[in-house]
Amino acid sequence: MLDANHPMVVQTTSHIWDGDIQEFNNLPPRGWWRAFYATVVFSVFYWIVHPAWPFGGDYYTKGILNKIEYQSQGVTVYAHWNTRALLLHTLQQQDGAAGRKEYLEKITAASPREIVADVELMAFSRSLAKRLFGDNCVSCHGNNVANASFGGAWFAGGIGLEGFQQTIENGIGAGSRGGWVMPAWKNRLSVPEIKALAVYASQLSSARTEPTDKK
Amino acid sequence: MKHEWIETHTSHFLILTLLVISIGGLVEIVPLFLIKNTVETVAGVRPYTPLELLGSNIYQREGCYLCHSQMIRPLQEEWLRYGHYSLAAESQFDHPFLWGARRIGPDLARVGGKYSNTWHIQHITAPRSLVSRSRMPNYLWLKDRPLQYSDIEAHLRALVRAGVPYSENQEQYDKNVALFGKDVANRLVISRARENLLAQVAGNADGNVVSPTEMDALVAYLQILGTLVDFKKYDEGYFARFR
Repeated sequence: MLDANHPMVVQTTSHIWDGDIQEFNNLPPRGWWRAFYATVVFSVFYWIVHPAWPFGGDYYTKGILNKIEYQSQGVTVYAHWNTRALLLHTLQQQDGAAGRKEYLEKITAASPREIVADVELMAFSRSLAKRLFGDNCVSCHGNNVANASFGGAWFAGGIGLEGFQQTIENGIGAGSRGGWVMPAWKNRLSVPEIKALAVYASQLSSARTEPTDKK
Repeated sequence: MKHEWIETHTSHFLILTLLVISIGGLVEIVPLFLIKNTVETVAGVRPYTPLELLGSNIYQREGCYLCHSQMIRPLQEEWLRYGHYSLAAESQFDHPFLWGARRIGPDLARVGGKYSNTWHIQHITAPRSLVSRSRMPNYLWLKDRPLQYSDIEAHLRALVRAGVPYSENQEQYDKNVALFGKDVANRLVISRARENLLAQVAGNADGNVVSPTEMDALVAYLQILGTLVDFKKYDEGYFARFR
């Protein structure tokens, strides 16, 4: 065997191709070799810390030292490491999560008109709705009236804040032949999200269709 | 073991290569088969109706899965954009599952109910008429090609062999009634597949029941994706307990 004590001895892989072609059996570079052993050591550490070995039924090694804490229905739960618990933990305990929750509760309690009247609520609602609008509304309504490809007429406005909220909640054309035209977003979005969108969309609408701000 | 013994015998080399590569796969996959909690206990997931199944076949034929995944991961960014993360239970009747790995287009795991049928038809035919920066091809032919459904029973029987509970006799039907309720069980009867397929087409956008098109099937399939589980029924920590 070739090792650090015999650096100059180079063995071949012992078989010969085409009469005289041989292949040196050199070791990989030492740094590579060390990194390889490091991965083996790491894997042992990983097995201990993370959920790893199944033993049939519902039992498997759950890992140690890395419990995840999250709230479920007002109760604090400690779970072994897993991405679903980690997601809940992130959503509940990241920076700003408490403030976000507080504002969402305020929006839930407020009417769309009250949201418009409150500068702070309005700022929060706008930033929330902007993302939601991009993810859910733009593909039909466009990001301005010029490229509203599928639901342009909707932006004509004139239905008031509550009208916007109701339309977003219940959609348009439910039960008609060929199915609805606009989905009922109450199935997909939460109450504060719908209210924020209603305010956002109504302002977008009045800004696009009526240059002078009209109540 | 000498290099020579491996490298000059193809069979030795092949067997050892397969052995080494399979370790990686087995270590990742086998534990999931051994843990009961892998597939969550959840109400609402049912096999595809005949029309949706043919839609899924067209989805595969056109290679939609090459650009669209159907797997929302439990990450905050995906939670915000696409909604609730995908459950193993939601693809328990998929053969093959279409999770995909590439996202040249957006994830479609929860696209059902997000757009109207007419929107889908226009978008599949001419994506850039709706999303100006889209890179999706124009699937012009789907709207006009008649749907081949004369072999639908054979498709369903093949899936039965893979463990999907379509019913061929009264006993299986009764089991489905207990599992999914009467309405769903009626749509899973193999002998009534054509009748059910045409009935579902009748609810589609153009209302043309006489000659169902491939578009009818594809849209029916898209509209069901991710809509079967009512997540409002489960508390926020429920699905984390299955891990």
